Amino acid sequence: MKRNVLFSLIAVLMVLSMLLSACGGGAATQAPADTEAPPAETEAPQAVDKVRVGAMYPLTGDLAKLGEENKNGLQLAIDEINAAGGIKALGGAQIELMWGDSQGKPEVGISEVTRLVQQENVVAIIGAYQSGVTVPSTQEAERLATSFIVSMAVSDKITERGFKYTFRICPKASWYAKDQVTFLKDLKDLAGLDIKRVALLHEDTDFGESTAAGQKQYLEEAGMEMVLEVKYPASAADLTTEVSKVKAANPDAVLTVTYLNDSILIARAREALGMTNIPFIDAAGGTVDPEFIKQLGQTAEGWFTEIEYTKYAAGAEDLNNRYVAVFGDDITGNGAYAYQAGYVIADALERAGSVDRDAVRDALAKTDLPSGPSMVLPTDHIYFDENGQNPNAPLFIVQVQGGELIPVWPGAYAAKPVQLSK
Amino acid sequence: MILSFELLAQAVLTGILIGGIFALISVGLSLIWGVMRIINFAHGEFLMIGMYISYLLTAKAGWDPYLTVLVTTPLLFLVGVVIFQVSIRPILDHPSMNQIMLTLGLSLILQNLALVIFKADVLVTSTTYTRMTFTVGPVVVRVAQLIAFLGSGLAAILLYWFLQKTDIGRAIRAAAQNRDAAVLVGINVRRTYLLAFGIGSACLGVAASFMIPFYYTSPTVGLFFGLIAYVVVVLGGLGNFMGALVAGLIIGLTESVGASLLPGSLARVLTFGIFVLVLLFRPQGIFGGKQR
Repeated sequence: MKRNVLFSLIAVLMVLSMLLSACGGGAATQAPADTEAPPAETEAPQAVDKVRVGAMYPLTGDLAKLGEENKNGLQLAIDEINAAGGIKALGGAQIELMWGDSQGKPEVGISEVTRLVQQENVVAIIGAYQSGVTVPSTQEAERLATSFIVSMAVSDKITERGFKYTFRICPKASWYAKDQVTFLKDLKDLAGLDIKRVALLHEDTDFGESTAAGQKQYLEEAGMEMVLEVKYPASAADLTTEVSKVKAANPDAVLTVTYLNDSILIARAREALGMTNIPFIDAAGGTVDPEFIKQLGQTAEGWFTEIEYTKYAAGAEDLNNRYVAVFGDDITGNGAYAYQAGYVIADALERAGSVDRDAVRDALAKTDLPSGPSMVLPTDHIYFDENGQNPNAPLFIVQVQGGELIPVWPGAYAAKPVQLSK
Repeated sequence: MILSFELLAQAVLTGILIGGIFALISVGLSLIWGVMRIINFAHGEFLMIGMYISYLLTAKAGWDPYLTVLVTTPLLFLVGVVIFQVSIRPILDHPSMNQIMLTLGLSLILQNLALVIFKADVLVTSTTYTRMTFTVGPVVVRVAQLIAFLGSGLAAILLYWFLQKTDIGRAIRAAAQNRDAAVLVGINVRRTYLLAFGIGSACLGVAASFMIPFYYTSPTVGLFFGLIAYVVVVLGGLGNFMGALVAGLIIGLTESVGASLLPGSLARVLTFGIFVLVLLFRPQGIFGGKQR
């Protein structure tokens, strides 16, 4: 009897610990599904006055809220393009968005790509937000010889497979680490801070480990010394000890990779241990969640993190105002990159002057959009290299100043100077 | 890397302070097991309920976080009593596997209810105590953690006194020692069970209020603390009050000092390694007497 209890206890504990590791740090915003993909219409053969473009994001399921940010950004761009007279090279043809819903699942993503190409007859597809869905979906698009414009999905390998029909506008995952290190270098000019000794502090799932691998590589290239690497489980009850370890190593700056719950524990320990004079730069982890600032208040002040887009960047206000007027919320990185994808496909259609998929593919490969109303990213122009990757996709380094994430880097797009506490 | 004295001192202090909280949480679980031989797998979720209540009173109603003890403790007692009456009592005589499955089911229900009501967001609140610190030599002491440790200790002492000196406490201990004999001398065992379950849950109310000034709450916050509580209770000896207190401190120290010596989740391996070793070689716990 007693043995049975113990065996059951062990069995149940194993299940629980699996649950724990699955949930640890999985505190990202999850919203109930409230958006549905419009039903597929069966229509007469394609009319000359319409161009069909496919768009696939997780519109239902756990990631529906984030999928909707992408959807709204793209919809805004296409509505603007259509209102301005559509694709002039095609006699003012209107772009019709055909929505696909990946439900956040790779296998659904693949079948939605097939449906959009074979049944809806789209000229290209835009998507897909998650790397897990984008990797197989772009492979399917490649097989069907249809261009897939990746507005957001950061896994490095998406544009490292030699595909002809995959074009990515957003940055690669490893660039988050690269831009962190470049920022550390630039701190000398920005704030007179000569960073030599850097500590890494990160959670130990794939997100933390792979970003840290990039950090190590770029630190070495930049000639900075990594004095310490501290890993922790994101579900830790307390991180005071871990942060003490970092303090004991006496670094000039700390690079972190976090989820929300652990970023809160680190921020509080950092303050308690009197380390606010050491800059902490997070890799777009828990610190970009609005809750980080909302709930920590003063404790969050001074933190640096990375984001893909911000309304405070020079020139971004106008787009944000248009977005808010339609959807109510501020535009996010997801929305801004999806918006940009809308203008990229419109530009390619103009230059192709055709709805032939290969003509559109060739036009996409020659994309070169200069900064302006149809190119809103913080760089002078965007284009695709031979792998289909846009090399000009800089991240913003933002700092918590007065309860807002204020862009402080790259220099030309900074809204305010870096603030360091003594 | 070289472990400096400062770092070790900080890790030991943090471990003891966190261990105090672990101890109080575990004492509740241990009491319930000791009296009615039921492992409550929803124990961590009860803590989660307490933390949400304390959070709401502190962040939304502007209460002092420590004042919320007056609400969370009786409320968690009530939650324990109601859940016992509705779900545990009818299966008291069933095989232990059924009881484990039932409390596990309860835990999942409570987690998902919290997900529906509060969403998956991590909630924290900054109270007046949150940012207070003082230093002792090289060690930084966070006031909120110190208060939590002292509060937990006080609650444990009160509970110990209650079990040792009051009639109800004696009845609870009697029922734990020998159910049939307790019935024979006229103790209402059913009522004793009810009280024990309520008191075990009330411990979590105390812990929850003391944690809110420095910890976050989320629907899955109970998973980790529940898991720790099982380890502590097994280490201290199932049903052993003092054992749970000491084991709480040991596990707190293991987590904290382990984190200063080992990278990442390896410290966690240490904690659960202790758990497995104790189960294998000393299933009555390091402080347990002979196995009954």
